[in-house]
Amino acid sequence: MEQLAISRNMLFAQENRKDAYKILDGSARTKWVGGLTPEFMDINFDTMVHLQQVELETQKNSYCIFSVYTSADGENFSLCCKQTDEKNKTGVYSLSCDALCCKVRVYVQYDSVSPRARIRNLRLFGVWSAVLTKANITVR
Amino acid sequence: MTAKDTIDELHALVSRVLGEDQKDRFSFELTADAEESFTLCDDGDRVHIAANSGVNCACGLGYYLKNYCSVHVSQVGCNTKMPKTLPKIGTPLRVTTPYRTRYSYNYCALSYTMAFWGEEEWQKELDLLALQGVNVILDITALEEVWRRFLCKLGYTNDEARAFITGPAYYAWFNMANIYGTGGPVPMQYFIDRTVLARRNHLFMRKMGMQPVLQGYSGMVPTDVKDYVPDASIILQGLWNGMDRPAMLRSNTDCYRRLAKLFYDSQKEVFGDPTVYFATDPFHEGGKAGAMNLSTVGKTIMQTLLDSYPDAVWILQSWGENPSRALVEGIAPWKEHVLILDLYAEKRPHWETFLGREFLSTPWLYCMLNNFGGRMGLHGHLRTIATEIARASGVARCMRGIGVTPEATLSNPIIFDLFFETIWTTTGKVEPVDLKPWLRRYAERRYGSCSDTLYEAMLLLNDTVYNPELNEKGEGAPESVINTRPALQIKSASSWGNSIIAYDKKKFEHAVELFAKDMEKYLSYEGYRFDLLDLLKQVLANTAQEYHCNLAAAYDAKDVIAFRKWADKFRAIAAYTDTLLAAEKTFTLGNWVNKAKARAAGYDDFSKMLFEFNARALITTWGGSRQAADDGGLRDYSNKQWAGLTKDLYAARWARWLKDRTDELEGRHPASPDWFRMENRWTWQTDEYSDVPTQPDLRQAANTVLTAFSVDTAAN
Repeated sequence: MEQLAISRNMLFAQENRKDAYKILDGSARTKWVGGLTPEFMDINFDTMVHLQQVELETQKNSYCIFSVYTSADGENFSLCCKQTDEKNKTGVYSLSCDALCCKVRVYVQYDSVSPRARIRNLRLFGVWSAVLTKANITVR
Repeated sequence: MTAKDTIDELHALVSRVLGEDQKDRFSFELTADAEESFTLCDDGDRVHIAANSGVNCACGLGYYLKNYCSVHVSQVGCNTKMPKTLPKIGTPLRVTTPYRTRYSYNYCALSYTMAFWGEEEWQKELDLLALQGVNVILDITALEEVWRRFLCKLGYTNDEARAFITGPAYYAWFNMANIYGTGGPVPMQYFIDRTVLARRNHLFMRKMGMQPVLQGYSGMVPTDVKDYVPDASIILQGLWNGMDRPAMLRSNTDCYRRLAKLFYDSQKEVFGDPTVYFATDPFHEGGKAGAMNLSTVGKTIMQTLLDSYPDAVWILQSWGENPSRALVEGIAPWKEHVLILDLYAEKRPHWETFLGREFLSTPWLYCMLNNFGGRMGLHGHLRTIATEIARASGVARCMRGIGVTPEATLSNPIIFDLFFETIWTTTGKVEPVDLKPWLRRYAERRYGSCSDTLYEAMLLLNDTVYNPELNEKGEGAPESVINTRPALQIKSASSWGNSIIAYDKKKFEHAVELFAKDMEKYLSYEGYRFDLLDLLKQVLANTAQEYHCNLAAAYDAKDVIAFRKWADKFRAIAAYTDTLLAAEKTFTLGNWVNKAKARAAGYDDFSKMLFEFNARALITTWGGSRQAADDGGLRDYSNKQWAGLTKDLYAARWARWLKDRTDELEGRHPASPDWFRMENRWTWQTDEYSDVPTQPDLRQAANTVLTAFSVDTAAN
């Protein structure tokens, strides 16, 4: 499992698209702020990956409800994992996954300290599936 | 469209409403009559109906069914038992109306009631509208596809356009330029499915001579439009009830004219030219016009509309302070291309007082609003409808028709049944309706017959829940205290609602007793069952209000024993309310949520989740945002008396509050609940709710309500 490299042109946010890249810089001081929750952010790999872990960083001492959906065809999304409204001291959520996909959708349903969707950092872990193509993979 | 298409559709309508075996009992003829009218005459064993359009023929059919066959058709309960031999007309009967426009809907109804309707629900509704003679129908189905194409023409990608468009429950407010993006994005297939549905509905309307009201363009654009259209000059609109609003283009610019044309081009691509009617309300509910002269705004909107649709009629809502004098003055040169909806005329009529008389002599419609947010109490202004439309007809020079503009339907069917018949006449003059005989006839049609006891009940309902003099406070029906966020002092469940019951609760209960007295005679009629349960739920809501007063008094007196007693009673009445509501499909949460699920059945997991969230959020937190729910005041705007919702959310809220207050009286210090968190959690759940009505013994249910939960029990 490796951290999957994400570039800014892979990102598509529902709102405030120009700031979406801020989820990639690793800094806890910068963040993407979207519209009022719920809001989504898509990460389009344009090739298949085996997604194994999602790490999302928001605000400390708060709670964030979000879900992660994955798509093998770029249009139809299946539920991969989700986070309920449990308070989190560190603001970092790490969820295990097991999905073959070319697109990941992070759906921020609620943030207890902000009316707007906010992501400080997003890290996706897994394996690039260089030998697989969209056509011959059946996604769970 | 040929005459045969119309007549075939009329026969199909008869089959759908009355049954396949009835369709040959009627013959139809399209005439060149210049008047809005229909003529009924005998044709051997059949009845012949002649009129100048399909919808007027259908209205003639509705008239005959009502007045000769004692048939009743409504959204909530029909009696379509036809006599073996059709009653004779005798001398041919010609019925006319001076009004060419009979209009339906408020934008909000298309979300609060119809958000998840498919072909079956829409066909039933269109049939009913046709039988009532409605010929102009606000229709936002697939407008989202128009907006998607329009945005793509501006340079937005398909994904960007879809990110701006709301989810399926929120299209009303999106099209009124109040919000964007909320509850979206929907899958591409939904755009296609809705376009197919819209075209199907338009085809029916075209066959019948009805017209949809499509969207007028008044400048809505995304806030980032300048990234795509550099010469766009916009006014940011800030918030609408805590929700982000889209921006508005300045209409006094070339860019505005260019974009208006692109919008109308997109609309023509999707729908063709099915209508002359277009609705838009610039700067609706607090929108900001900046320094723009509203006369210029009005003039530009009108000119751009006429550039694309030379025969267009612009429909505006008279609501709050809109439309402004300046805007109406700006469109004055095109008055015959304007229709103003006097939106809440049954209670707060504007036509006699607003902008002088009759909106500066602009054509207008007398409209009945009655319902706000789909809130469900018994409520209406029957006497006003029976008399005021006739009075307006006698004195108004610019009145062009009537319309219904409720924010939701599926409640108080009696007022809709009366409303559209008020303008049809056999004397050439619109006359007031004599309500007493009308109420007896209504009961006979809806319940199969009407005993003196049942008639007395109807008169008492007219004197209580449908009495305009006792329904003057607040907007819409009084709300059930069970549906409110718990508190010691309660004004209403929703921010703009009320829970004032000005009529005598005991008198109303007596009406319900009389209504229920001979129930065995009427229970085979679905309208009777619906109304009986509707009345019983109102008794429960009325008594719950009294229990709550007792709870608050006991708490203030620090009387823990009394508080516990009334808390037990309150929990019991909330629980029984849920049980009772489950007996009527329309009163179940499942009937709403399952439609949302059905619409999303062929879509992906994300869309399935999204559609269910749309359905659950709209009736609770409204949009999933604390800012909109609490600061914006939208929470519980669309609270419902529905089984499932009552038990799992409302009663659960009260259970928590009752426990906390009891703890306080016993010296403990409970933490304050986070109500929004509780409500928001519920909106994301996906548990199943049944829409199959239970089959309780209704005699026993009525006895329980009228004894165990009578308002008298609050005196003990």
